[in-house]
Amino acid sequence: MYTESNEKKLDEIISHYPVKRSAILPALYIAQDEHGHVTDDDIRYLAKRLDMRVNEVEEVVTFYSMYSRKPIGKYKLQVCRTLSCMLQGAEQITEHISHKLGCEIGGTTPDGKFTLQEVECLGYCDLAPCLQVNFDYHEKISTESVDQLIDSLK
Amino acid sequence: METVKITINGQELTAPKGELLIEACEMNGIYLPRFCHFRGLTPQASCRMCVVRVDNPKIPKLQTACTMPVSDGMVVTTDSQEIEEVRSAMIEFLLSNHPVDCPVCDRAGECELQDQTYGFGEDRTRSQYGDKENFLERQISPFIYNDPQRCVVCKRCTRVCEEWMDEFAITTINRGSATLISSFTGWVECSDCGNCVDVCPTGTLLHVPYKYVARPWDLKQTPTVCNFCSDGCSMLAGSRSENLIRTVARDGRGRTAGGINHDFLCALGRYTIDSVHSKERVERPMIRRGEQLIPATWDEALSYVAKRLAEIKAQSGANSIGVISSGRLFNEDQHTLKRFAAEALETKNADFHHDHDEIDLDSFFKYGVPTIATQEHIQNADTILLIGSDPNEENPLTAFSIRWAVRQKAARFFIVNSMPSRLERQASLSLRVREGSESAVIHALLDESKIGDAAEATGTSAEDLRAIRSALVESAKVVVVFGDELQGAALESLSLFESSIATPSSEVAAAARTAHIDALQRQVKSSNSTQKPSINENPYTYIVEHPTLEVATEPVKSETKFSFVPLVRYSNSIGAWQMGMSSAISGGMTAQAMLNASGGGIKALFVAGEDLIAKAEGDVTIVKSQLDKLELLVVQDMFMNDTAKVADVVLPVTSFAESQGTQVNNGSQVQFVRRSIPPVGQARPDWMVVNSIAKMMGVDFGYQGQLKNVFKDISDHVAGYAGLSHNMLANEEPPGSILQGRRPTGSTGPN
Ligand code: SF4
Ligand code: SF4
Ligand code: SF4
Ligand code: FES
Repeated sequence: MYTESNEKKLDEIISHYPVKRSAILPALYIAQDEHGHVTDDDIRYLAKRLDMRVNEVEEVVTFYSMYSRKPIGKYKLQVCRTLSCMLQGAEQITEHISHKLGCEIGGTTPDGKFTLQEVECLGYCDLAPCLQVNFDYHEKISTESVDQLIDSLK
Repeated sequence: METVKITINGQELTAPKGELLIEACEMNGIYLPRFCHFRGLTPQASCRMCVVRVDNPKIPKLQTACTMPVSDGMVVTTDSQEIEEVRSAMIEFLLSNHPVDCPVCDRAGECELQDQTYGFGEDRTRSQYGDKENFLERQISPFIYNDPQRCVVCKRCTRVCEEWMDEFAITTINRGSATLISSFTGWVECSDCGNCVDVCPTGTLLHVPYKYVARPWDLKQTPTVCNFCSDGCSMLAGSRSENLIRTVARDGRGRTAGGINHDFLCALGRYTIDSVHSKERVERPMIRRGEQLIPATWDEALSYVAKRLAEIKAQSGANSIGVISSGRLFNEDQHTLKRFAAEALETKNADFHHDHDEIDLDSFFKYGVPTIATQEHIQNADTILLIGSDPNEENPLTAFSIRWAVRQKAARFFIVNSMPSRLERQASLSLRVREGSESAVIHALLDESKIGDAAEATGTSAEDLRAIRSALVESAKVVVVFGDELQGAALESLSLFESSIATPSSEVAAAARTAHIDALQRQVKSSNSTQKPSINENPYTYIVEHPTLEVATEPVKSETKFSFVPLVRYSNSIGAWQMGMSSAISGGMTAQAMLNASGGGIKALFVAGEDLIAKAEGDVTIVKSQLDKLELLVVQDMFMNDTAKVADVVLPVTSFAESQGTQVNNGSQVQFVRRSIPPVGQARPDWMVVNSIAKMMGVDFGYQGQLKNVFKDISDHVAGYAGLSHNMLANEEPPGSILQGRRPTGSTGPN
């Protein structure tokens, strides 16, 4: 179902665990790598590979904000909205990004480049407010610094 | 049972050792609020409503009583300002997304969220409507309606679906306040048991057929017993004026009918009750005039039947008349039909319809009566062998009990079947055998030397068969659940399990075993060559030999190692057999033989509750033409079915909801079924119709028109029923009277 190298990776990951289903999180990343988001077919396929039920896979995918069930932008901007970041002005920054990109919270820009999301605690309270772009953290952000960042990503 | 001493709110109390604190409190009359806790489900501890302070052993934070087992000397406070504040805060959280639309919610009036908000919450909210997550309500399965905004995410529904049903058909999607109960595709395909709806403490999951149909406080709730399979689940039949509206195992106030099924019901018991008010119901007696069935009065119809039967009896002899009943009819009906055949018609041909897809009880009980297992036995077994049946389809409560034993008691579970079953997921070993070869396995289990033959006959490995055999030998409590695939000698040998397998394998025992098997083979041979061995003429003494008859109130504590569940086809097959409504007892023809002899030796058939045409095994037209040859075909039935359509007289009878009586489930438990609605149309109970015809033929059974006298007659004559009365059965708890009060002790979940 996946490219040869991804299939190999999947086998390798599964071999790390005593029970196949334990490999679900890394396996979902592989799926997401391959298709940009987790598709219905991915869920059916992984359920079979990991001896799970489709409902169990769906439950996991929708629980975590790192996975997406629909197509998303190339860059996923996730602003923390939990207490510390909120107190440090995360809300204003999110709004700023939304205006700048012309994109609602939870939405994707028409060019398919950015997706903007609010997420719960990213664990960077001491360096709040915090923004995660794909797998990179940007801490102590401000409207200026996100402007710069976004421009550099363009 | 070992108990411990605990102090709750300054009061010294006792509780079973290891019991969960929330249950221990309840046993002592202290109700702790809860959403996620549900007896019979794994702990979840997500709602935090049950928090208590534990002072000894001292624990710094409030604890969830639903996860804390009691220990000796435990000191607990369940009520204080601190606890009240937490509970009220939890309620506020749970309601933060709730639309507060109780006035249009089916659950209102029996809603745990409503009750607990009233009992433990505040009367105002700080959440703004605009802040709420907005989810549209929608139907998610043929029987389930979902209004996600009312959900408190207690996950009772998903746990029931996984743990009781092994379906995992519904699950939680998303997280936090966006969590909703749904599934991968959004549409739920499952066994439609409806248990998820029953256990839901809120108005999130609702029964589609009950949607906007009634308010719970307008319903009369009658504890009754399901008759759609032989498990015999108790349920609360909710009716309004003359209509049966719904059946539940447990209503939203935690009231149950207190039966063997606790909180469980299946799709049949829950969603097929609309047959009671079906358009196909026969409303009036009808007599054939030429091509047509013309409505008649009861008097006309009954006297016509009495007259015709008397004529045929006089002309062609009593044995030219046959009486066939359905295994669904109550004991009282079977008994009256049997007496009708024996005393009014004086025919030997009386049989409940059990030619195919039914366990041959005469064979099963032929050489003695093994212990019959109840659901409680199954749930507490060490080892379960399922052979020749799929309870998941036919007897859902039995399937539930098997899952329970495997999940909760780590029972070993073996399947020997020719068809696939969903229960295979629970099995330690599942053998898919050739169709019709199940019997060979029974012989191999009884006699080790037959293992090789059996492996060959079934297409399985000798090693697997040996594994099952040694599990049976080693275990202390074995329940064998079997179905109609076991026939003849295999069925007869089940009663030899105890003596052949249970005895320790010393030389003496081995000799005993060989002797038994020899005896068995001799008997099998003789029963093959001749007819049935002569059975005592008096059916009642035949039944005396069956000591396993018991009342459900006292669960049998069997001393035997083996006990058996015959998965008979109908709700009262065993009762019909006990009442002697069987050709093997009356010495007459079987139902099938009567049909074959129609037009020949049989001139008239009296058929109660059975659609012979629909049940036809091969060619329907043959059955039809056989029935055509009869001089008289009387059908008493609820429905205008195919057999009724070709009858000379059709007599409308009541459904289980409109009549009372007793029935015997596959655990040999006698249960009292209460009337929940008045008769539909002019329907009358089966026994009453037969009683009237007998009277017109000059035979009075002395019932004086009273059902309780029928049962008196049964208890006077059918041994095993001695000393029982309707009153006794109806007042027993369980099954029976509705448990009053907020949360009846131990009423939820088997334990
Ligand atoms: S009806 Fe039964 S099987 Fe279907 S989702 Fe509900 S609990 Fe599961
Ligand atoms: S639907 Fe009902 S049972 Fe299921 S989680 Fe929500 S409130 Fe609980
Ligand atoms: S398991 Fe049998 S008795 Fe119980 S509800 Fe279902 S059909 Fe009725
Ligand atoms: S009942 Fe204990 S946490 Fe829900």
